[in-house]
Amino acid sequence: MILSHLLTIHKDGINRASAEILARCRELKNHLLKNSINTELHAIICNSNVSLWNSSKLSNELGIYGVDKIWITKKGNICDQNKALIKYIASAQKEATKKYNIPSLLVMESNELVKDILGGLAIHINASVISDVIKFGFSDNNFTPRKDKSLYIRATRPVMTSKALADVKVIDKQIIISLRPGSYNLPDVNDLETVPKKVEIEYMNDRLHSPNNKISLKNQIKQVINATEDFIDLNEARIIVAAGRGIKDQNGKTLIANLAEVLNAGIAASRALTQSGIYDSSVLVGQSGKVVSPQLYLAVGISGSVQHISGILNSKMIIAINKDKNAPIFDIADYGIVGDLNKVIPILIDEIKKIKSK
Amino acid sequence: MKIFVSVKMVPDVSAPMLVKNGELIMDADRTVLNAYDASAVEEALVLKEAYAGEVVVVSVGPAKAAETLRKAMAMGADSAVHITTENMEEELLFDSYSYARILAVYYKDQYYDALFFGKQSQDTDAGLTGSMVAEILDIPYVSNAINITREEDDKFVITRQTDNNQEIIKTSSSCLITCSNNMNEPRIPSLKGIIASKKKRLQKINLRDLHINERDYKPQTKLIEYKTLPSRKAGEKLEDDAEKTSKMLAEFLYQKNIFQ
Repeated sequence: MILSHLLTIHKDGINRASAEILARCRELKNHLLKNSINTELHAIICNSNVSLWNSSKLSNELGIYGVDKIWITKKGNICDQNKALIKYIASAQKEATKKYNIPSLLVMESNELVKDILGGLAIHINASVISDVIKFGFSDNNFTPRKDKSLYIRATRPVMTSKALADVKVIDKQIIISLRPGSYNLPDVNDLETVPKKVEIEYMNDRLHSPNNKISLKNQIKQVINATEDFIDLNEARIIVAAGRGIKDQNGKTLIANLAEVLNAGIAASRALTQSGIYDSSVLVGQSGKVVSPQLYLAVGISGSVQHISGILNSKMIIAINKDKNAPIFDIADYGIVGDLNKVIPILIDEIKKIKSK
Repeated sequence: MKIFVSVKMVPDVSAPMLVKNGELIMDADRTVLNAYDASAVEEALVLKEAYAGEVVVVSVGPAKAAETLRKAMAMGADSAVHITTENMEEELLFDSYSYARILAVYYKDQYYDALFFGKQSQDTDAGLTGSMVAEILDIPYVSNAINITREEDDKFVITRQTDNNQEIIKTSSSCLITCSNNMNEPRIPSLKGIIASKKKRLQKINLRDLHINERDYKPQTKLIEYKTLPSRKAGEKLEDDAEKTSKMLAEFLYQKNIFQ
């Protein structure tokens, strides 16, 4: 069978979520190989600005995860247009699976890029799909492809605004899953392949533009507004400082920015603050925004609505600062301070600086 | 301009609930109009008010889903289509795929400038139906819209929220757009609106009469069981003057090896 992962290559390599997914896929692959089931791990790279990455560098970066084959294109604008991206992934999957004859499981990171295409891609390649899962695997005694070559995948996903988890299953030959970042641990480098194997690299340019596989750009992007400059990506951030209703104005925003700076943290906000325009909607965390999974989530002036909490439950540690001692955020916080953030934060910043300078 | 908005009746997720023996037990049997769909209805109404036209709301669901459609008409939608699943046991098991297949069969024969969807539903948060319908109908689509305007007579200009920025996308008519709840504040139906909604047309179509084979909307995903969330326990909570608590927090962060 084919295990595959769609990923983006950045300047410094693959992102945290992709490392988590590839490590999980490698674990499944080794398990299958041990049971004499022929399995390959493929990486489909969707950004085309990979000029910094020559083939040996790519091979090294992904080889440690046991990746057997990389699919890539040098043609631009694959990520920029949902239908083009769907067709690109479909071409790679179609070839990898010998026209969908080999069963496959495609795992993607649950982010906005993927949410945009997930349903459409499933229809396009006639696959079953489970979105936004936090755990997945083959059904206990049933991880082999069945007689009809279908796979049995069981996955866990949060439902009802993360008030419950649902275990669901799909049985199909082609299956797609999107996984929330932070669901599996980052692999320890020592556990990975010490001598990365040579990875086969397949360039897809020609196939994509053959006449019977033409990508029609029905909608065009006019403009990309960079909402946040010089930001720390919340999906990647080790620490996030999050602002809530307790932040009222520019002064409050400055406090948050100063705290984030001293902690080298990304900045997030609750819905109240993105709606009032104090923060841009790009930094919204919660059910209708981003789901984050940092080592530390420091909630400042956030009372903790169920919608907000559903976006932060994957955080390793949650700390809350709020003046209302009954705020629901304290029910899930590992450490809480009841107090006025305008007083607490300036002192906290000084104390952190003191400790750091020691 | 004609806009169809697909809406879904969902359980009120704010109601208390608990998991027992793999089943989800909700305190109240209360259902509401999915909040993301309410934003989609609101946006369609705003466009209608600006450029004139017609807004039709469509829902696939049991008899009770008619309440959801009435609510959308009370907000201002002109008419409603209810694809009923009355006396159909499998309705309870529908997944995004089932809804997408059914809705696509209905929309295939309609004239429209745009199909609006909520970007996800509050009960499952799956967020798949919209792009599935667009792919089945082979029409352009934009997801996670936070602003929609009309340009010339046959185009929409949509601002879409991505992971780290916003994109402005221009697309031709006969497109599909999924709406974020961060694009507007859905209006509360007025008394006048509620009274008017009772006289508006609500067309009922039995799913059995729609030209679709049962195996074509057979759900792909099956629920095995519900589970409780691994609970996070409340940790230490300090209540003292800011000087003391700040120091203690800084020390705590240091102990936890947060500074690097």
